[in-house]
Amino acid sequence: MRVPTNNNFSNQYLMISMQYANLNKLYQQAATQNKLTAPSDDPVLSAHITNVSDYIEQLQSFDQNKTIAKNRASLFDTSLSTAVDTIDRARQIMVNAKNDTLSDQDRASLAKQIEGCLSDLLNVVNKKDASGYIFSGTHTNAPAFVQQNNKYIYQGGFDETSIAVGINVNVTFNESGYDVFDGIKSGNGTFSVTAANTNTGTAYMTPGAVVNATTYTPDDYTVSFATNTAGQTVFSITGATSGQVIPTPPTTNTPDNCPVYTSGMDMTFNGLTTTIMGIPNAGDNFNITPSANDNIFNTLQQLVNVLSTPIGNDPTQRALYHQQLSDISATIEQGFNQLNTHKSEIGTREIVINNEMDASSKFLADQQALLTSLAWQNPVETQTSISQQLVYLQATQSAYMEIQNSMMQLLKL
Amino acid sequence: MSDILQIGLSSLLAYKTALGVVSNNIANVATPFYSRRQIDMASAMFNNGVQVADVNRVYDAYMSRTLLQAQNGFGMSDTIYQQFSQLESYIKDDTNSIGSYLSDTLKSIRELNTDPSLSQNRSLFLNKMSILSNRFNTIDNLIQQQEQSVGTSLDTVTKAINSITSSIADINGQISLLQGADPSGLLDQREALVQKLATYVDFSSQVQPDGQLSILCGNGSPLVFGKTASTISVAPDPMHKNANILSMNVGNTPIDVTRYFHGGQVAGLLSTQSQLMQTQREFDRLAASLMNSFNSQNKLGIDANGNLGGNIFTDINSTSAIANRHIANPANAGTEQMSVSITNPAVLTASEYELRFDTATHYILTRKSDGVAVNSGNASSLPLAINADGFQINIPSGTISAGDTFTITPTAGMAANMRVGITDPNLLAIGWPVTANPSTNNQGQGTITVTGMSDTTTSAFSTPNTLSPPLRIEFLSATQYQIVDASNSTVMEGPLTYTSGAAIFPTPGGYQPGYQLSLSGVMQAGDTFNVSYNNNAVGDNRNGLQFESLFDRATIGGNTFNKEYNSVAGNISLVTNQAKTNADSGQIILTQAKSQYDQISGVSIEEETSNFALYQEAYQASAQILQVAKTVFETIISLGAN
Repeated sequence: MRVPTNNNFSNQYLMISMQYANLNKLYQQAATQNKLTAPSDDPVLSAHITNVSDYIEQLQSFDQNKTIAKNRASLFDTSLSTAVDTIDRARQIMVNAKNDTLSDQDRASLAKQIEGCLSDLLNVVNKKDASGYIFSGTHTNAPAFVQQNNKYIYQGGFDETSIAVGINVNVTFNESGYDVFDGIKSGNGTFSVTAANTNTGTAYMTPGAVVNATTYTPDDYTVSFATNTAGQTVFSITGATSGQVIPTPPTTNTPDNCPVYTSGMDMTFNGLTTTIMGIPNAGDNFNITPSANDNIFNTLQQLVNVLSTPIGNDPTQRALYHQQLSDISATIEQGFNQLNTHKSEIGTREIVINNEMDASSKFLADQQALLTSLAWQNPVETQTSISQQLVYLQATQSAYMEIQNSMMQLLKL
Repeated sequence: MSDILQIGLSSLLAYKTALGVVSNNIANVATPFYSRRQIDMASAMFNNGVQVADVNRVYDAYMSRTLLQAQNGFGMSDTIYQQFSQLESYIKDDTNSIGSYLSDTLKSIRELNTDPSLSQNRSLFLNKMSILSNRFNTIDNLIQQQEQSVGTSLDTVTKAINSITSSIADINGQISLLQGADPSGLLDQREALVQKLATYVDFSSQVQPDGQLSILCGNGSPLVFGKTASTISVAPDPMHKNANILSMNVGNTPIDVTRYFHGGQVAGLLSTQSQLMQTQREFDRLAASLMNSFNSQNKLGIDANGNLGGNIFTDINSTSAIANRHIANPANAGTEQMSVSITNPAVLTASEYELRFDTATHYILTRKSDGVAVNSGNASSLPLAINADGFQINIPSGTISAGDTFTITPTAGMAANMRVGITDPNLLAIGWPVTANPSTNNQGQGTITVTGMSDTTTSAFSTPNTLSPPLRIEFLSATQYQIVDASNSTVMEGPLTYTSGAAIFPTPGGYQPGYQLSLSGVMQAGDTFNVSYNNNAVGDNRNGLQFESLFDRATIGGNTFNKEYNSVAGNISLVTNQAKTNADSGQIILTQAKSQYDQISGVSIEEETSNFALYQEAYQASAQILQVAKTVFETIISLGAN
């Protein structure tokens, strides 16, 4: 075969420049420790790497939110723990307040303690962090509860907000204070029992309960006491919309037709029951009304008012006092349950965030390992390749040196 | 018996010629496309010595053609590779890519959602969107610059082609004047020119009986015919922005020959040009989708001042944008007024379209990427609206003439003109305009939630900062409710059946206020819920969360923003990779073709040196023959003298 001379030279140039190109690429790999110097080196691998690094980017984009959400969740947790403890304290105080040996002064000092509870609780509900008030829903720039015209009202937003802490994982971020601290049903949660201020007897009623939910008829019931011709204390019950309940129609409502009262008897009608104790006078009234909604702060304030009203040794006042205490106590029990429910719900929120943090850090580690195995060029391997390539380059160069030498010898002939 | 003097003389002359030929070969060892000359010796008649029968130019037309093709192939793929590896390095810059700006934007929204009342958070989000749109502008600019540089290269290459074809025409002229003299030198020169031409364009060639070479381009138009060469010139493409066509003067008429080039650098540049336009349209489509998604989302929310949000980016259907999405063929006889609006960015394609009026009353709209006629119909009366693939062409007025054509690019200029149109971060609408709450005296445990926003152009939002009308949902029983206009307490609809968790709108009566509500839980008669305009909700991030979820939605042809960007950038890498593979194999084919060509025509010093030695020896021996002849003569003469 003829090998034309200029081919020798151009081949030599081509071979050597190709080897330099290879070397150059290896040097780039060594410098960047990346397998690919440009995505077009291997578009399929490059697409794979992009997908993995996008996923990593996506996982990491939640990092800040996770920290913020976790702090917020633990803030909610401690806030609600404090709230529950505070109300528990109020419950203890109320147990003491039921003691008949207390003087007006003793009760006034209990009132002070309840005021303390109230202010502690307000501190909790109007707590804020770097992102604003935590119980004000969407109205993060305003405290949740404020006092207006001697009433505590919720002025926050009713919509809760959430933030994302993971792919498709959102957790509540701003809580509606109304949901947690307000909307608490008075009395036993279904109805409330109050005594008329004009009562002269010493009877009072227990908070009662619903015994049959299907026959329970919400209404404003009045329990009235009278004396029959035999001189016995009797009672009748009427509802604002139900009309006469006891004595059962069509019996006419005259004292002689009414049932005779005995202390400690249960009154059960229209699906509800309550116990009445003490000695009522004729003309005394008790009201059973469907529960109204209110917040825990107004209830505590009401308690403060009841405790600070002097009753002296008047048994009538004392009966009224007990009646009020019993109703408020039942209401606070409702609030205590509501707060406890939210407390456990918020506790699970922290668990969700922790789980998400654990899971995503595990994912992240896996994905980063995958990314490394895809994109990372082992420097030892690169160095070996470089040495190898240098040997090839030298071999090529010396081969061409040989060819040139032999040609020079030919020319010397 | 032969004449020894004659023999010596003929052989001396023959070897002198041979030495001359060999020297000439050696002298031209480095001359490109010099075909070595081979000397044919023949014995002279009557055993009267030797003579040079012929000096051959060793040349194989087949090898030449193979080499031409190899030049074509490599010229094209290498050009594409050079152009695209440059583009790739611009676009796939890890720290500066659109992909990384997209995730920065998403991160800034996440941050904003933790506290929308903080103005730094709002500014950051706005800022990130600005940076993102700047990046789109930059990339579009880079593509445009590269389109221009392709134009400049085309210009340079056509100048080179014109100079080569005119030289070939000159050589043709000289060859025709030779009148049978040896044209070898001219043939070598012409071969070098033809091979050079093949790196620029593909062509077919034919040697005419008089030795002149004609060169024809793909459609049969002659680049060189005899002594005349046609001129190719670069002209702006009348149907595309930033693109060029090649035209050739045949006679005095310029004809568009762009589509006839399939090899060489010209084809590489033309292919790069159309690939760049495709890439540009893909970025335009991504920009349009981004702008539209963010604008639409912002319009569903309320800003920090409590007002309904507006556009964040400039309107994708602004007056100037819709007027610049079509290019009329300069040859059109009609006077159609035209605008093109984007109606649904999710189904836009990255193709361009051709609108053609085949008659004055009928149009055909063709998608160029696959040649499918996506719409056609009657155009006998104006105004005319033509819908296809997420856009609408409007022709309000003008006259239509048969044969009018338009290039329609529904996303033209979107990436170049992507701008954040607001400067006040308070105008970002992160909250929702509707709030709902239970009444304080509800006996049931039911809750109400605003679950979504779909439209703020309804009558419900016709009066600023208020809901028209605000609603009250009143439960008549545990299972039935009515919807009441809270402003005047009139019943709008009801009684309606309550299903816990079900969406309320549209109501059975068809009321659809543009927001969605869901009631759930156990209700009691008398429970009411109020729905009103959301005032003072500085911490509301419900629309902000929707901004986050935009990044997870399939907003462009089934892809999320990020996936679409990856696919656009991935396509560039694929084209680059393919061009590199082609260029690498083209290089090998070219090297092989060249060495095959050279094996036949190239000069080998070794061969020439040994021939030289042979001819030199023979020459010296021939001289000896003459010496002997002289001695013989002298002997004879001296014999006579004696």
